[in-house]
Amino acid sequence: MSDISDIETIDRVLSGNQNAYEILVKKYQDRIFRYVYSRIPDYDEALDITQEIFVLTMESLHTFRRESKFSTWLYSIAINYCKNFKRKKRRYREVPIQRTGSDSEYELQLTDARQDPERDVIDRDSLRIVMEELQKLPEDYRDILVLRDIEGESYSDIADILSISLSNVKVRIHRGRELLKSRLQHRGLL
Amino acid sequence: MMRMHVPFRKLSAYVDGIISAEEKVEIKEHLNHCKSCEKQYDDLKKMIGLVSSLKGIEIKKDDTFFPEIIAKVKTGSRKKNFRKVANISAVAASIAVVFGVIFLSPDSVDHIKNSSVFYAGDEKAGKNSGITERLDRIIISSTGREDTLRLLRMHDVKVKKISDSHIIAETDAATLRRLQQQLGERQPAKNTLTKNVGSGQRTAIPMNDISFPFSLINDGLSERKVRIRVQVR
Repeated sequence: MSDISDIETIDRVLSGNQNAYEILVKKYQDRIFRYVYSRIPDYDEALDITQEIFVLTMESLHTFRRESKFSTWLYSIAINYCKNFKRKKRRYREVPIQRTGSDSEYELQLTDARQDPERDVIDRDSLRIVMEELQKLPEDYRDILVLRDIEGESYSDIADILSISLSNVKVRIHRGRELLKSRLQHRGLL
Repeated sequence: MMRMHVPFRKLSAYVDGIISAEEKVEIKEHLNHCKSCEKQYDDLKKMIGLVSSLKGIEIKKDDTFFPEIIAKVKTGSRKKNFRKVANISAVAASIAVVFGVIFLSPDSVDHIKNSSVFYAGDEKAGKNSGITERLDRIIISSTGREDTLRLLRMHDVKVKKISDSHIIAETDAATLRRLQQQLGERQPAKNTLTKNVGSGQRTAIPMNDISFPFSLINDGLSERKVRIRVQVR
């Protein structure tokens, strides 16, 4: 079932208080952005798509049936949006954008949690390599590792989000981890 | 006690605590005696730690993120599918005529002459306000904000910031060319000023022909995003 506070917020939005939607946006924007960014490795583009996902979600809010968590529903929208986006992009064979020197690909904010002395060994370069290798994984493995190992979603929630069986979730998690581990070993991180 | 090495799938399940209590004891005991499996386990834990650190990635603090969502919802300007876009193309064309884009207002000219880049703030305040957002184009729209926004969105122009007086947006040359076609393509005027196109290069831009909105064919911008500021009424 959905988080009660999310339901209350949704009710406020549906009753006409559009500003209440900011509560949901602030709560989930980084999670959705991280998911999008794992699939679309361009900060600006990922940000635009994240915004579009929240617009689409708000426009569809009245269709949310409240049988699952709001976050599950939101992730489902994000996943479908990204799939359609990539499909459309392939269809039109867009010319890749040539980035200029000033457009850093990694203009990313890292939270204070990373200042934890125990985790000082994890530097920005290591994180960049991990993100690169994660982005290169096959879609099935990448999605599941983002949901499990970055966002900490439970196996059953992941099954709901991806509409796959629990046993399939288990298989994809261990195969994805095995593949990523070997690639990070190859990059000298393990 | 387990005699064979622990398969990776079991180690993965062990890390997540989704195995039976009996298996848990067996694996724990095995790890105490098998250096190879212990190394596998340590590497797996380290990898999960690295991946979970990506949770530190956040959207840069931006006060416009939520207002833009609301603006898009209000104007119904989320990117529609192509069929819908085709259906409204006639409306887009009519608005495009009203749009009446001109390249640069006289006030903007001095700023461009004296600056190697444009800034995303008030031109007069830009140099002193520490605003350092680069712009490639300044466009003056003859219509209000909502109509301008609608037109930009119909062309899939990415709106970055919206204020009462202007819109900062980003797009590509192809989109700008489509817009150019709707506005009626014209030849660039001979009387031109120069503008920055990166790497210290400057190139000509038309000034007198106010109906010529975009000239991207030979200005070095055709292969990257173009950041524009649209002044609205």
